[in-house]
Amino acid sequence: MVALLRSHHVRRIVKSKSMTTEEIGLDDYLERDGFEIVSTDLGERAIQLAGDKPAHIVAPAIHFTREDFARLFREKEGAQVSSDPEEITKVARTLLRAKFLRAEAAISGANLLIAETGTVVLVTNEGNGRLGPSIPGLYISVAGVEKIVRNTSDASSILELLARSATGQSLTVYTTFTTPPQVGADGHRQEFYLILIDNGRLSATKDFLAPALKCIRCGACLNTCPTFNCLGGHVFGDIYTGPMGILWTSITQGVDRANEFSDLCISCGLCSSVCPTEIPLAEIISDVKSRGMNHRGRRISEKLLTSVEKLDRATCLSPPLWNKLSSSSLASPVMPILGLDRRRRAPGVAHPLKFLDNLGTPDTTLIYFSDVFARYHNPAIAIHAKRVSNELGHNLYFPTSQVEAGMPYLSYGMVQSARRIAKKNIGLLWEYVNLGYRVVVTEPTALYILREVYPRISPSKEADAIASNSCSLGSLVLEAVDSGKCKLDKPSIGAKVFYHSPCHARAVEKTPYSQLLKLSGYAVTESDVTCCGMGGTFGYKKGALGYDLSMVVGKELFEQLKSFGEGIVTTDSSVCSIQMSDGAQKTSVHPLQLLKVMR
Amino acid sequence: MSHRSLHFAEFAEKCKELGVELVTGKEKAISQKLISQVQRSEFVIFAALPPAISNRFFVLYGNKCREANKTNLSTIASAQTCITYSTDLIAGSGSAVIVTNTLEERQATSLPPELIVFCRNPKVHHNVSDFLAAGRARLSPGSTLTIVSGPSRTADIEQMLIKGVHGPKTVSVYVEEGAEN
Ligand code: SF4
Ligand code: SF4
Repeated sequence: MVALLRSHHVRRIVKSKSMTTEEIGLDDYLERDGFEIVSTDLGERAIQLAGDKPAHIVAPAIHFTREDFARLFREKEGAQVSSDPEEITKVARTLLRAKFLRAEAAISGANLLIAETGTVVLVTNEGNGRLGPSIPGLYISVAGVEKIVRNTSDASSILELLARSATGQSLTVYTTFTTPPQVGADGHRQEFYLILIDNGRLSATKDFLAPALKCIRCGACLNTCPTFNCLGGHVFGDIYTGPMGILWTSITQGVDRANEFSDLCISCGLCSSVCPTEIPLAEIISDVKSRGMNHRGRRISEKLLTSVEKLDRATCLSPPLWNKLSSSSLASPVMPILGLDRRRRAPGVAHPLKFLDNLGTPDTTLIYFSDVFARYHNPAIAIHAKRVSNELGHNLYFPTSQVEAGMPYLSYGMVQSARRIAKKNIGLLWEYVNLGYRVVVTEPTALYILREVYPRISPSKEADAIASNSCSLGSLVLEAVDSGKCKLDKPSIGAKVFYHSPCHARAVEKTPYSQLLKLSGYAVTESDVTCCGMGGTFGYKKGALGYDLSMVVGKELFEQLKSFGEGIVTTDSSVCSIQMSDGAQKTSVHPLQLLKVMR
Repeated sequence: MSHRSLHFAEFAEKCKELGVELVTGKEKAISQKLISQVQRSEFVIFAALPPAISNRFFVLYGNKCREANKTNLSTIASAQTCITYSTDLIAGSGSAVIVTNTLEERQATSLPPELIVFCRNPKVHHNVSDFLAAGRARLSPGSTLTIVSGPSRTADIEQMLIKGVHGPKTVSVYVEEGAEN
């Protein structure tokens, strides 16, 4: 690159936004060699003036305030500017315009490269990607090899996806198809160079990271990730940040580097559910973590949290004894030794659930997949699930040989163990689904696992059939109400209810409970936070990367709960309910407990 | 309603959303509108406009308009308005497709704060995929095809939407209907 620029007697370069040049550290390198390289994207320019690094792949300067912007242009560029965003933009336009007009070379990334026609496709909103390459005699585009598509029709489907997910608008302002070489009116040709970057991409096509190459850098996963939204890209990521950053750091710098921050993922699954190119992010992240695990071994807390069911079975032998132990002052010094945070209490246990209704025909009986919480800790959920099922006219049958759903194994990257568990449950549930039974759950994580996880970690027609025949009990109720088969009783009209919809619920289906509660006549306040912060069992771990982080993520929810005041708090997720109790001292119930169905 | 007019209604709707001024009319009305814009503007650059249209302005207002291919970068950079041409509109995104064949035409459609896109009986496509599938995008060496959807904008400062960054601050689309091609 240096040789190329030197041979063209270039000193001043304008660059439009390109993650790939960030990835290879181009700016620093060229600056060291005496070139002036100016980022022309407004946010990136501010980052450059501050000597900072981008915090977000779509909105690089999301961590700066308007005052930061103004100060940078005042101090570094000597501009007279207030902190009014309109004025800052106007000043930046003028300052950067001068840079555009005298640049001797333009560098851009590429959103796509069309092989058939030799076209560089660039998508921008500010117009810098269109203006930059129109002026100087030399134009260089730097792009990852994965950006190459065959023809315009392949390009068009990707463009539609990109536009819709990045900013919610239906198309970005400028989609520019440049087919070099460009010529001046007097016939002189602008020289064009395309620099293709491999940097781990080609070898990734052959391993578990391959799906990540479909990433179109839309930023949707970053915007939805609960921990990323609290921590930002300087903590959660390196050059590539957030959920996609775990994958792309693995590709470009290796899994070890990615594992320096992969712990920040609390396995809520939301990123996979929003990715427009359907990259199974959460699962791949699990794999990344599991590779780190092989290097460092499992931490004691991880061993413990992935043995929840074994522990539960043991402690359930004598619930009163365990409950006394775990709530006594003896327990809290023990928690840190186990790698758990002393500010958490181990959840109480009850006599385990053994039996609900008899097994009838597929028409009359639903199969209950309980996961550990309803089975060992709070059988009231199962009892109410049975009551509601009966009110709907169904038996609720509980096959006792089912095992835990297995989420903690995935959270801590133990994919092999998760797969073993998946096989057991699939084998069991298939016997029923094959005969036409439907599977219902009360725990959203269990549904997430049946629908999204098992078919991926243990692909088979059985897993697919189970996935498509499982739903939450709430959505069955809503279906029956919608079709007029039954009504909801209004138990205590006007009662105030606060409903928190768990992230795992939103990752698979639109939660039925908020509507059911409203139809029942409750005055429902719904939390609008994406995640309570517990992240399954993540918030049990001690210290900064565990309890503390989970409390930071949960802060907004706690505040909403406090301002809600008196009333019933409800959520369908057991871990959210623990978090709300620890973080805001609010006891919650499962929404099924608040419903009464009448036929 | 025909397909075309359905798409056009959607295009108009989208323009409103994006803050794009859309004017439709017969030849006379549109030409009047263009004339008034040239009169009003301090300096106008024509880019990729059929000569039959731009020529009549040179006769009347030669002192304050130039053809992009017959001038230089600093003149282009000083212009207030660019008038360019489009044959294809995209309804779903409120976009106009602009094809430039020289660097100067690309500069002229990027630098001035006002962009006016003139169209004569344009083809209105439902979305980008339809447009690209229609085979009207000729991606040949030396030409640049740009799909422009409203004024240039940024959300980099505290996620506030601000118009007019490096490209035009205002975009207008003038559609002349019912003319002989
Ligand atoms: S699974 Fe949840 S916490 Fe983990 S990266 Fe995805 S969105 Fe973030
Ligand atoms: S991983 Fe998916 S959601 Fe995230 S940036 Fe890439 S394409 Fe977008």
